[in-house]
Amino acid sequence: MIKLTKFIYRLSLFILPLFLFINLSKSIVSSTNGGSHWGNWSPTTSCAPSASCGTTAGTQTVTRTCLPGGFGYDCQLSSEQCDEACPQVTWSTSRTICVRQHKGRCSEYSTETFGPITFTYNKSNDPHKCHRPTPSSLELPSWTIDDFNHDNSEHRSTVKTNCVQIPAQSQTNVVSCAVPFVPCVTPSVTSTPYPTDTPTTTPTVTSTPEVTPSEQPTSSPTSSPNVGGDNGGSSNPPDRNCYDQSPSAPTNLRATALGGGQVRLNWDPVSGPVTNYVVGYGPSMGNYPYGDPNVGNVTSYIVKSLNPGGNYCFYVQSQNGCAGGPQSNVVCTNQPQQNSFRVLGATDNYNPLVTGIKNSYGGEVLGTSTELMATAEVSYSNSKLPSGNIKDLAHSISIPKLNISTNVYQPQKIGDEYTVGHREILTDNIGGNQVYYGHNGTDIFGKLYQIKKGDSITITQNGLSTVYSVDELQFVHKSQVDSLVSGAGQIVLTTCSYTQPDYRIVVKASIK
Amino acid sequence: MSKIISTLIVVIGIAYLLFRIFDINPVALIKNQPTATPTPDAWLPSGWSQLSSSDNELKLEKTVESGLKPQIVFEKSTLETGTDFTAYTSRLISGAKSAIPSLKYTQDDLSDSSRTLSGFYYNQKKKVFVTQKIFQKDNSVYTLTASYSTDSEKSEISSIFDSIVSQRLPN
Repeated sequence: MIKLTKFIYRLSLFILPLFLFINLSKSIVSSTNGGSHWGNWSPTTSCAPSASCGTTAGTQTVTRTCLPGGFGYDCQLSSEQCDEACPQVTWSTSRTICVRQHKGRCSEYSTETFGPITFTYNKSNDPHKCHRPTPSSLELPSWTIDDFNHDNSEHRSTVKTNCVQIPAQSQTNVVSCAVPFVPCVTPSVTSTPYPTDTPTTTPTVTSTPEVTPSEQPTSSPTSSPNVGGDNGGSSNPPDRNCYDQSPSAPTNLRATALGGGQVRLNWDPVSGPVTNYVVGYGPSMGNYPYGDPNVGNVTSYIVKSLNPGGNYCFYVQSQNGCAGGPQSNVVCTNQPQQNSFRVLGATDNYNPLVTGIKNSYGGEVLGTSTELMATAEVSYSNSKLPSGNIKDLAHSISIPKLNISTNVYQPQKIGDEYTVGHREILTDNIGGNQVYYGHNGTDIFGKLYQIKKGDSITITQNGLSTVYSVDELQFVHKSQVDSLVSGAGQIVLTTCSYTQPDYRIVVKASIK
Repeated sequence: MSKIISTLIVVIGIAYLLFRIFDINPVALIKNQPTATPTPDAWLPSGWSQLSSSDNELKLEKTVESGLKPQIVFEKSTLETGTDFTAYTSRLISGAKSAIPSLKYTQDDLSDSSRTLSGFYYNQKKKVFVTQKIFQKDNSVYTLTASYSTDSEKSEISSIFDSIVSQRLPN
């Protein structure tokens, strides 16, 4: 009897914690499942018939994941949130400073509080993700943490309060469809699952069959990328019954390192119908375990939560309904030997005047640029100074008249803002035409005013050279933004006026 | 004997509580003791201290009761072979202006191998004065940058610049 009692006692010591653990786990799962961060599933995960592909039926398992963002100004609030309604976030911060000293020690402290600031996440191109406003649009405090943290006797504490750190979450939805399954033709989009090691909470499975299946499919249909699968590559259904026109491949994919584990992708839109684009990426060429199967019908997308300084290769793929197009060119970061571009580092852009200022005051410089039209206040950070533009080794410009022959740079753009190095010619697509910008004065476009009608400009892209002939040279006020819009097939070269900073020199050229 | 031990424990306990209540750092008390060894900051004017130092870098800071602490940064870098100093520094100035659009240089004194710049920029809507000096010796470039919030700091910073130059630049 005594032995039995001891056994029961020892058993209870083991079972009780286990019981508590299970209950705790359940409560975590429950709270994740019912958390307010999640909105409704998008229509693409339901069994709604496709307009031209018959019906996507059967069972689909789709996982979506909110990834934590990088580090921002506002208490690392750059996380994304999957919610139908973008949230409001209130942020405030305070510091304690020394206001009176006695015998070399601080005898009286004062606390200053900045905030609270309330801002609303906005929806960008992706309807399922909320994005916080850019740092420059927030009212930032007039001091930074780093300003005062060198001396503990003066800087006792920096407290950030009311911050919301949105955790990474994952959710799986299983949809069963009753309608007869008719697979689509050539849905060649490969799966691009999210990183499996990112979510910090237990993925929650929510089984919400919309219709009870009356006929089981003989194969697993996926007319859209099977996000969340093991690799998804084998999930392509047979090539039949999709009547959507296959789109062409996106071209001119560029990647810009934004710092903080973020890379911005830009590409030229495809001609013909397209419903959305797929972004895939991975640590090397041909190895793309990560991605987003639907970034919307956009030509720019920011990939977040990358390992800062890590090597990544990216591609985009167009999708038209159930028909996927071929992959774009692949761009990689930090791998100049394998690819057509490289991310410039401190060597090429080192400027001791800038680093001196940066290092002598916290590394964050805020100012107002007048370098380009339609500019706005912008912040620069350690990772963005003095320039983070990408030299495009497959894209060059030659202007014999001005003795210019150089590769162009894909710009780091923050909002409407560019950061331009003194030896850099930036290029961007404005209104469907390529615009090239360089600095004036003693810099690369300093002699642009000398160009005349009929002079030649050669643009080489991906080995293909096109010779343009200058049509006109304009001298316009910076407010005349529309002067950068050119005719079909034209390119535009622009710089600031050296003598009249509010004016721009604009050169337009057509194919010879 | 036990009374002595008990008393000792109580005294230590009270001392611990006092240290916690008044947030006294015992290490700081020890550090504040006068020492015979001169500190690396001995050559600096009152209030200035050395934050970091290496062969190619030096960072100084002045303690102030409130506001922006004046800071001085010294950096050594390499000049591309065959580069003209005037053209090189002009490019640096142009690049700095483009990288920091609010930067305005109000003074620019150029000689054969040195250039002194003074001006200001805005950091998060706060005006920051800046003085920068660039020296060239052979293929090395030495850059001094001072950021400060009041123009009255300028003369003190100038004297510190001179001290750094005499210590760090080769004759």
